[in-house]
Amino acid sequence: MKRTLLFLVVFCFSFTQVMSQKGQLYSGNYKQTLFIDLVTDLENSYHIKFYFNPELDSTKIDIVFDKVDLNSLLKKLSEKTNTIFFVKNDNTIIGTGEFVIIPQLDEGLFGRPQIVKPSSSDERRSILENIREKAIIDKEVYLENRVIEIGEASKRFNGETAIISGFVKEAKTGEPLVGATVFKKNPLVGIATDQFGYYSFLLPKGKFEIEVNSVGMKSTKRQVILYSDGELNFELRDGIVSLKEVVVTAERNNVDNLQTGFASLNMKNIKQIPSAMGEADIMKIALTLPGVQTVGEGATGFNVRGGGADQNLVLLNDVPVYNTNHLFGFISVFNPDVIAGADLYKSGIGAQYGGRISSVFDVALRDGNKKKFGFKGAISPITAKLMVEGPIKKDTSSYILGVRSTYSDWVFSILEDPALRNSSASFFDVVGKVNHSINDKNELIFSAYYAQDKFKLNTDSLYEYASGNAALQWRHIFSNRLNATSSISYANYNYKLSTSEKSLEAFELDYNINHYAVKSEFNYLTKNNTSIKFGASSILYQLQPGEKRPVGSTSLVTPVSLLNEKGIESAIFVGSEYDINTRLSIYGGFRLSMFNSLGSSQSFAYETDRPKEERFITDTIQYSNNELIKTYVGPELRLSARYKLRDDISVKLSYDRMNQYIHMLSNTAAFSPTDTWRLSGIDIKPQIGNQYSLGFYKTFFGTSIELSVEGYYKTLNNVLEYKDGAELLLNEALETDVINARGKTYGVEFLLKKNSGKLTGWLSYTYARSLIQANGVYPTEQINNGEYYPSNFDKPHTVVLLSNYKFNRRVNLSTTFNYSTGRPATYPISRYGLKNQSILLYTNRNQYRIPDYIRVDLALNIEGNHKVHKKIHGSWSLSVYNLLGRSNAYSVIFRNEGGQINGYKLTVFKSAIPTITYHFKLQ
Amino acid sequence: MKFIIRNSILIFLVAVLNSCLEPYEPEILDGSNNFLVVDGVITNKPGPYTIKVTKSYSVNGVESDAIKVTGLTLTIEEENGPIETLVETEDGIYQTNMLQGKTGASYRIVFEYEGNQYQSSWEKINSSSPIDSVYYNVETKQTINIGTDITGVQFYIDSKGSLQDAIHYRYEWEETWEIGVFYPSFFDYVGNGQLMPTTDPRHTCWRYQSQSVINIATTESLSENVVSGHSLAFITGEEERFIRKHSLLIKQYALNEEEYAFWKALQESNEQLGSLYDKQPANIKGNIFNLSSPSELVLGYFSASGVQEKRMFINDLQDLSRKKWCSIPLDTLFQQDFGATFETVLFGRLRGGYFLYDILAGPGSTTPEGAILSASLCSDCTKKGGDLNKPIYWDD
Repeated sequence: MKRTLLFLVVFCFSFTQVMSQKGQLYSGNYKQTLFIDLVTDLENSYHIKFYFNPELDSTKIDIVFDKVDLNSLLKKLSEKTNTIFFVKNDNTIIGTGEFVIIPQLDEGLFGRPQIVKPSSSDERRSILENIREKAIIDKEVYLENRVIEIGEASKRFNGETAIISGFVKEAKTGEPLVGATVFKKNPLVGIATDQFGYYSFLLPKGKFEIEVNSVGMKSTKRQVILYSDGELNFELRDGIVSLKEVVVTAERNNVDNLQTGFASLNMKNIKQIPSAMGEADIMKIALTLPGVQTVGEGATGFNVRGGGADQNLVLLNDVPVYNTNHLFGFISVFNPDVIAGADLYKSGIGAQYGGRISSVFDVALRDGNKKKFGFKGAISPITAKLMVEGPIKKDTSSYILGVRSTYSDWVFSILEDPALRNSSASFFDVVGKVNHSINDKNELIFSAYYAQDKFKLNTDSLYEYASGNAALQWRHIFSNRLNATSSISYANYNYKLSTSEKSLEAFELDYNINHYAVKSEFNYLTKNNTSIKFGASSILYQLQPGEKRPVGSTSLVTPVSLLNEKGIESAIFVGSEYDINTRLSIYGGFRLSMFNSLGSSQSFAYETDRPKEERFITDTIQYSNNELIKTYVGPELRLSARYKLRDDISVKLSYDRMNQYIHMLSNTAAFSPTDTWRLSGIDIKPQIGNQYSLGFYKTFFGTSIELSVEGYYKTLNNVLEYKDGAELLLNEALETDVINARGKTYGVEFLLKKNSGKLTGWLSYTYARSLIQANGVYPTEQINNGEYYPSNFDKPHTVVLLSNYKFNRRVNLSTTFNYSTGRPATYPISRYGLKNQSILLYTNRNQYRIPDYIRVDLALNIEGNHKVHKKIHGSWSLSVYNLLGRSNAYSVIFRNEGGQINGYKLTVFKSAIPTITYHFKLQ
Repeated sequence: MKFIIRNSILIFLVAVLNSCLEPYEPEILDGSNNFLVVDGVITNKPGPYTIKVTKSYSVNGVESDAIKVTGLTLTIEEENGPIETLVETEDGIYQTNMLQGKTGASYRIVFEYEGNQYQSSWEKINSSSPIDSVYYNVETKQTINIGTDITGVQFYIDSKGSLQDAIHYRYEWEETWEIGVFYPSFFDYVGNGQLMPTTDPRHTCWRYQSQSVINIATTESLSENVVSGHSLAFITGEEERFIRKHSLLIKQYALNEEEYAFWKALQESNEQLGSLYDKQPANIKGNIFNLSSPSELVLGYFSASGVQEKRMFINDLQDLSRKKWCSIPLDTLFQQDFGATFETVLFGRLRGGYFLYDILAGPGSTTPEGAILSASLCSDCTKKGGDLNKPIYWDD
């Protein structure tokens, strides 16, 4: 195969030649002359015209020629500039850079290279671009039509099938394309590339066509003759470059793939979508998908299919992120310039994932450009960011690094109010990745991120939180049937609160969680083309649930330090996708997870037949270091099946069982910054989720429009609910304030999605319910008399319309419309007098709803003019969040004002929020 | 601590995100509004102690809507001690007669209502640590709406106790302030140009106001039982406060842990700041139970507390006062307009609610030439909610 490719390259170059103009002879002597001056001089002296890449303008050249023909002159110029020149119509000379133009030789097959007539010299660049595109297209057409031989012809009769494997990469940057589909038609056999852009699948020997699709990329195909096992690599080009030519074919679409409840977000496609802070935010985009909701503006995290925000496994390069928020949740920690995209699994979750019961949100970092250096940045009123990338060694190793920061400190400093002028709130994050290909079989990847938030108000209380992770991954290809990815990783989340407002009560409070993990995952392709994924992972958690210390010599604060928690979460898993026939495919996965709670620690014993309350504590049990306190084992079955009724209609079913051993404690409606993660133990049982899902999928007009309808029913066991008035911070006996409750959620999600054309986007409607039941033995362990009641994120009706209209290649306009039912709230039902005060009585939780939520956003993106900017491209985006200026309620509260009870709604954004951002990049 | 964060976030949002509170009146279903409410306290100070028994009322209602529960046989028991039956002095208000609460002793209330037996848990009177000082600062506070800062007097308390004293506190306060009138009337007209000092002066009154917020403190997280700089009332110059002398009585109640938790939960549910991270309002249960039907929700609390009191006076903050001008001008009756009927008309006016501000008379003359009259709103402080009885603790 390698020989074939090499041959191809030579073959292409052999067509490269320069056509000369007859008769005219040229003379000249230039020393240290700028190329642009040389060309201008030649153009003035002779009847010729040059078109070339402006990057050449400032190249200095020494050249002497005396009565040579054009052909010889251009050869010399080629040597000096490393540019190939192509002569058209005897007097038009086009410098094509490293791109090869295939001339008329195979006219019948490829057509003549077309050159657009120049109308003015200003258009040099755009003409050149057209030529380049044309050249690329021609090269592509050539590659697509040439028959490629794979394997050794001598082995063609050893068996009837062989494995084709290889990488699918982005042509410009060498970045692997994740989730690209490589397939053969009639009968359809296909596979998606893994996170390294690698694919491998079994095909019948013989001559056929292989196609590759990837979102946002121009699809391509190859004619192959398969003799025996071999490699075939693809380089795909950005589909947006040659707008007219491209028919974007979606990746393996919803009808074809096996998963229910799956969505893939590609950063390329979502950058234009408006956001509150002028920052493209993948988590905010996820919120526009059916089944994904938030408690309200500024609320931390998201809720998937009625589950809690802590029930989502958010991964960055396969390592969990324990706090995904900056600036109180208005921005996520994911820097849009450094991430490639994210996959969201609401159901149909593969056995390789585990540890959370509602969803997996798997964010992948981009690889740095392996071919050349580039940078990118943006400035908006709130944030500034910069990303750099480039090869460390060309084609072998690369890096990418992104930093972001806010200067809302500055915003505070210009406020008139003296109290606020002394306040501050800021964040920064840094994220990076290094890839190194040791050889064809081995690759090392190191990635890391760190994000920090701080705010300090006029009062002396300072609040800081930080999260970070790092991972080293080793990818090894044993054979084209077996490859493995192993990793060691670390993640941390911590926060610190300090206050010195009153010197007697000055304190610092810390929370810290450490996560150490090892994981190995193998992919094996069996003889009958079934791929099997199996592996094992283990996580060691060490967390300090709270430590409070006095600050300063006058502080009287008693130090409090909760005992550290330690636990090991391990899992082994195996999963396989199997095509029973062309219509029916199934996935079966099994994950066995285990959690060991370890000392040193202590627990409390309670009187039997009594509620767990502090007054019933009878004994304290001590555990020594690493002593096993409690073990939970959770078998988790994952099943999916897809049946294709027709090529464009399919029905899918899935069942997922998940276990969760680490829990976020929060009794506010939205997560607050002082909420903490705690581990399962004797009294805090693992949360268990069971989900049944059924979906119907249809595509129209090829795959350009997708329709899906999915329904689900989910039960949640041992979800944490809180007793009335629970105190969760620095609570030694947490079990006295929490209730192991149960939840059930169900719903139907409709999604209509348009993938191609000038207008793209989606319309979704979701009906969803999320109910909780706390029905303990004792009255204090019951909420709403032990009956089911709506959870904080029970929003039955949601409608989202997201559209993006491309006026031309430089201007696009995107709008989003959001509607959802108001979230449940608890209102007072009665009042009474106590100690001369009027007290409101709240009884049943979540029996009312705050007003419905409606929001419209708009964003206009304008790409800079390529003619004006040479190396650095600029672009502007103008966005308006909450265009209607609607005061959406975040919560409703009641106050007793002079004996009169007044209701108020709290609004986060009262008016429209316009933001303008300038982006720049070198590419 | 939660408070600090909440407050901080609130300010942040106000500043940067332009968040705000807007009036919103949701429709609230008036459901079962007839929960039994018991409000009582026994202290280590001399009685009588009062227990109020009422029913809860509609959210949209007013305090007088509360049904009073009358005719109960209500007793307070001392653990291993005497039992006293309370006397219903007004509808729904029951008072002790002889009982004297003692520090260290435990008490409970017991009564029967509609065939059900109710009682509170045993509550012990803990000693309350002595109040060191109550002091104040004139401060300007931001409100939730930008641009409407208010200036007022912020009171603080310091108290220092031993670790044997209770470490949880609830504060109550009561304001008393003296008010005057714009046109004081010092004399009664007795006829024939004769003036006598008035027998019914209406120019100086005292107003009372008790607090409307829950105020609690704890030294649980400190190594010493020291309350330092704890914020009490914030009082502005409204309602003619600080024009004359102002007094604040602070009562410090010692709470046990359960009662502290009760008030803290009430505070969280009732005085939400309106931030992103408000706790969910909760159903807060007190310490009174229906023994016959334990699932019945009984509201209120019977508390037993040691009490410390301190009264402080403020005399010198006239700058803060918001004096109301009397909008009704003085009226003058001239003798020449009425002739012989002048006195009849004048007495008629005075009986009709006018006050005599002054008599116009020529030098040495016993015949008044006229009388200046003032409307009652400008001369009678009881019309502004004042009480004419001077409090015993008031000295001039």
